Amino acid sequence: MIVGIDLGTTHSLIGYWSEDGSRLLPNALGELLTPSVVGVTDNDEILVGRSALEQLPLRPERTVAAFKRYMGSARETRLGKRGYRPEELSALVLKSLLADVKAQTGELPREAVVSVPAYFSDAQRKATRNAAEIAGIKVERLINEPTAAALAYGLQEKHDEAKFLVLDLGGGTFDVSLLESFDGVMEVHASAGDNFLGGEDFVDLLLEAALRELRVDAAGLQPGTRATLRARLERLKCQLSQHGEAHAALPLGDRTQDWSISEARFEQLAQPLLARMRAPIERALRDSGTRPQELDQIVLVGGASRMPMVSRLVTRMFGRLPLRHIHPDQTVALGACAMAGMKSRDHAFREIVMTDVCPYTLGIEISQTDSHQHVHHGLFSPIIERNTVIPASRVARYSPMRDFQAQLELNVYQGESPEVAQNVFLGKLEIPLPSRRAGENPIDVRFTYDVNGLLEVQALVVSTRSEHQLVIEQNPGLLKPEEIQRRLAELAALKVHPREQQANLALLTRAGRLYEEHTAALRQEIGAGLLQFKAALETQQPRQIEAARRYLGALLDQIEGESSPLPP
Amino acid sequence: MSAAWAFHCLQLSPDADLRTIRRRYSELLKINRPEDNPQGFQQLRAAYEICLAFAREGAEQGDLPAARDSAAGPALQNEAEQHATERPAVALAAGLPDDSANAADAIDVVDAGTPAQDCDAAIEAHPPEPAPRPRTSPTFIEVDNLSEAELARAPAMRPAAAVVDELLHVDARADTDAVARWLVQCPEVLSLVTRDAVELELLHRMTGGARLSVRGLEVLGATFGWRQLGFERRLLQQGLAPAQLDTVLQGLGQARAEAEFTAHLAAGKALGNAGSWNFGAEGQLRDLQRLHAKRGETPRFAQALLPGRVDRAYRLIQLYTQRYGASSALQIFGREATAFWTSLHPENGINRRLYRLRLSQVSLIVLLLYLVLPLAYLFPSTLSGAQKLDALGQWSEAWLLRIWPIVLAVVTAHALLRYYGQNRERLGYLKQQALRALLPWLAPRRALPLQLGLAPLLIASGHFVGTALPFALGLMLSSLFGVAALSTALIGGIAVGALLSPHWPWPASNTFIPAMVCICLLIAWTVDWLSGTGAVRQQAKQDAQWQQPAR
Repeated sequence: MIVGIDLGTTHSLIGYWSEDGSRLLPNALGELLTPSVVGVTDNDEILVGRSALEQLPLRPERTVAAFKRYMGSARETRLGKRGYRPEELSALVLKSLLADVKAQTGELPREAVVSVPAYFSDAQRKATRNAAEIAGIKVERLINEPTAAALAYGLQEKHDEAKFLVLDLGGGTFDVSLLESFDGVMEVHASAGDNFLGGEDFVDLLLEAALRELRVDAAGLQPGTRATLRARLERLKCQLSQHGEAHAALPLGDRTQDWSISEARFEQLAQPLLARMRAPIERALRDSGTRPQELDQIVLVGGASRMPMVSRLVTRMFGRLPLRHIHPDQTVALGACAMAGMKSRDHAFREIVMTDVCPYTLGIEISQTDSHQHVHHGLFSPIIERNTVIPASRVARYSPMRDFQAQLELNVYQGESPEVAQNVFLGKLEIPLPSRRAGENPIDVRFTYDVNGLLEVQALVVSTRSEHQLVIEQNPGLLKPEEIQRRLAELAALKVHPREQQANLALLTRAGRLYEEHTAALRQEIGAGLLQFKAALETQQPRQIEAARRYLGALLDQIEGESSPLPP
Repeated sequence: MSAAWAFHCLQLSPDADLRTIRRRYSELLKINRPEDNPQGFQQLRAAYEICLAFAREGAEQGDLPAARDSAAGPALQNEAEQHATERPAVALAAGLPDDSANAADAIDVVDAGTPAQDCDAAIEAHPPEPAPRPRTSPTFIEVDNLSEAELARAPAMRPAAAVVDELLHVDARADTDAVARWLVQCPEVLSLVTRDAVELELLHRMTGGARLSVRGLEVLGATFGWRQLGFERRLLQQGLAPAQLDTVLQGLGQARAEAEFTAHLAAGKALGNAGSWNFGAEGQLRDLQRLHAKRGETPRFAQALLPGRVDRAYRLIQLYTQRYGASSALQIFGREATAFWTSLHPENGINRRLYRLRLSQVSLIVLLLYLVLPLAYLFPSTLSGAQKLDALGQWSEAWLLRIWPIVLAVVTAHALLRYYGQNRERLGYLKQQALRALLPWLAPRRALPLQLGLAPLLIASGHFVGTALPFALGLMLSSLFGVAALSTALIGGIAVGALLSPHWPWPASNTFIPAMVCICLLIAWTVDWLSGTGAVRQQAKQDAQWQQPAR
């Protein structure tokens, strides 16, 4: 079985392709969305998902969220005794998802299709693949998130020829893809995006505004208070999506203040973020040479697209209402499952082919001599232009700067600026050259970009036919293979909190958090409920535990002032 | 990788239309899937792109693509596409070992040399079988928290002209970020459907002379992507005629330059090197304004005769070019005026106009001397009217026959030497050396004692007490105000003449000639110096002011 995984900034989902389409699997708590949060308890047990999210305000120094933003970097987060790389944190989330699959289907999947933001760089994609390897699963295919969403949308689309634009505003990234479907071919024409624009930024905005209006110094906030505030404001943001105005009780140190904001004011605050959404949309349209009138549909994807201001922006830009999945935060996962079905050669996909593009230009650093014999260094020479259909392989011929040059340094970059300084460095290859004149010593550089969006660089010294291959693993943001193995072993040794108890643990942590947050009468009520639940746990009778859990959950929901902790 | 190959690979005749090509591509694609057969897919894709471009061009031109020479290669829509499709062809044609090896490995492509057969084989090997497409219940709905009323409530789109009117009005406010704030809220610009019309209208307005602030232009440029590659092509796609495009681009450039200029004047800062201007930065800005005001007309030749004028104008243009770029400078100073001032500056080589200017300047100075010298001689004297007239006649004769030809000869020789190149550098070097040796002695501080030391000589000649002495003293005073070299040379020349001739100052004697030669040389040099070409002075100043980029 190949599973499809949406490894998101705030939430992750897993599912597979079944007879009747994509099927997402719930976690131990019965929720489809597992928060991408990892924590370590006081007894050094690893917590993943809802229980870790509940622990975030209580023990911010032992819990971490939104680590997807650091994928592809060497940043380590310290949790308890050990430092964790972003790959390892992702691997822990993946492991928990895989355990959910095993609990429900009885078999542990070995292969997976993982979705990544279209605008993820080579290093970030490799880091994602390494994370899966550490989690003990083989990544069969990396699929771009908007492409996955488009696949989910395109499968239900009945028209034969259609052009549509997919906007994916997730927790941490914003992606735009322009697709065309005809005769069962789904073709991505252009991708663009912003890796640092998502729902989290909107929450930050609310936090900033609240602190400013309540005249609280942001620097003086405890990390725990900050996490609580963020959680409250996250809920406030979701409420704003449904009602024109919402308020939240914000615990600020010793006092609790009520803060309210209207949807209109929120939109006004978010203008800079909304303005940033325009640039990728325009670029995708421009790159594909598509006029807005030619688009048949605009599809909104991603949890953050629930915010009315996002659909309003799109409505204003295109002069029509966009489409959206009933559950926008599941769309990508559904697409990933469909891709998994495609990979496992499900008969449903015999007549469907999907082609994707590489979202940015890839090339090498060169020096050039101008007409005044002045040498310019640090120029970017593109080899694969952005929005080339992948897989793609391109060759370009270069020659050394000087006669009898002994060595050539090939620096690989990605980006759109004519100067490499503004582009992203991917890796370096040193090629020894035969002693010849510059003109007679050409080098063929071949870039091969595969369907997963991973780059392979080959350099061929034409005169000697000696070939060199770039392994972009000198990048400090990436783990070496042996290191992956080591970390795999280390993670296996870590104690993960038993899956069966996760629902109970999440509830206990949540009750503990609410107990700390509230005072007087409410606190007593929570305390009583907690005691009752603990008593039920001691009986070890599943039915009694279940009943007590439901009771306490309802109580806590009531206290938190809404029917469910997160809208589905 | 020709069009013939591409069509053959897709098993189509070259007159296939877009629809057929796409259908064929989709059939073949299902056999050559990108994830299963990357090599085959890449070949298929290359062939598909060539065919598409070919068919599109055929559709545009309305003739049959088959009629054209298909072996000559595909006529592609743009260079980028050609780039994309032709590159692998180069690699294949070169017969690189990796390519042939990979191609052999590829499932459906056997040999890169005869790709058409591969496609045949591929199609026969896997005949496409229709399979039912998966059915899922429709889960995509129109956004629920945004009703149709939202659309209706959206403000009605105004005509582009009204939007641009408002934009110009907003920009006229002093507030720096007014335009940015306005743009974010303007529904017409926000809407991708109407923004093209707004953009075109705005560009037309700017071509018509509408002016915007620098900040406004910056924001608008970022919004509409006016500095991005392919901006011109986009305008053409939006239905702008190629002839109009030029005007629009010029208008945009002019607006940008004007905005920069206004901002620069408002900041009141010099472009650089303001110390040499008469009144510092203010003087420079006034010069800038004057040049800007007269950008429409070719400057009159007489303006160039004023000392230092050419140099100042030229240097302003240069400084402005360094700061804002050549196109901005052309817009601000005018094409004609820029060419005029540049051609008159000797840094850019001698031309006929510059030669004419030199000649006029020298003539003017010699003429001035011709008028001033007799006046100084005649008026304080005790000669009778007839004698005065006689003296004036002799003076004129001397001018016409001796001085003027010498002046002309010197100026011409100087110009010719520079014009015929090879001696230019040597001449400059000699001049530098001479100046280096002379300048300290001719500096005002030292010139005055030198001239005073010469005074006894003048007095000893006997004729000078009532006549030449006041004139010489006048020159000495002038040395205090900067033309020390000139006055020293004049006094020295007169003194030498007086020593050599007992009939000084106006004898028929030939001993007059050396003094006049001396004077004329000095005149030529001074003209050079006044018009700002004194190589030493110029160079010294430049070295002190900024580091020249290495060439």
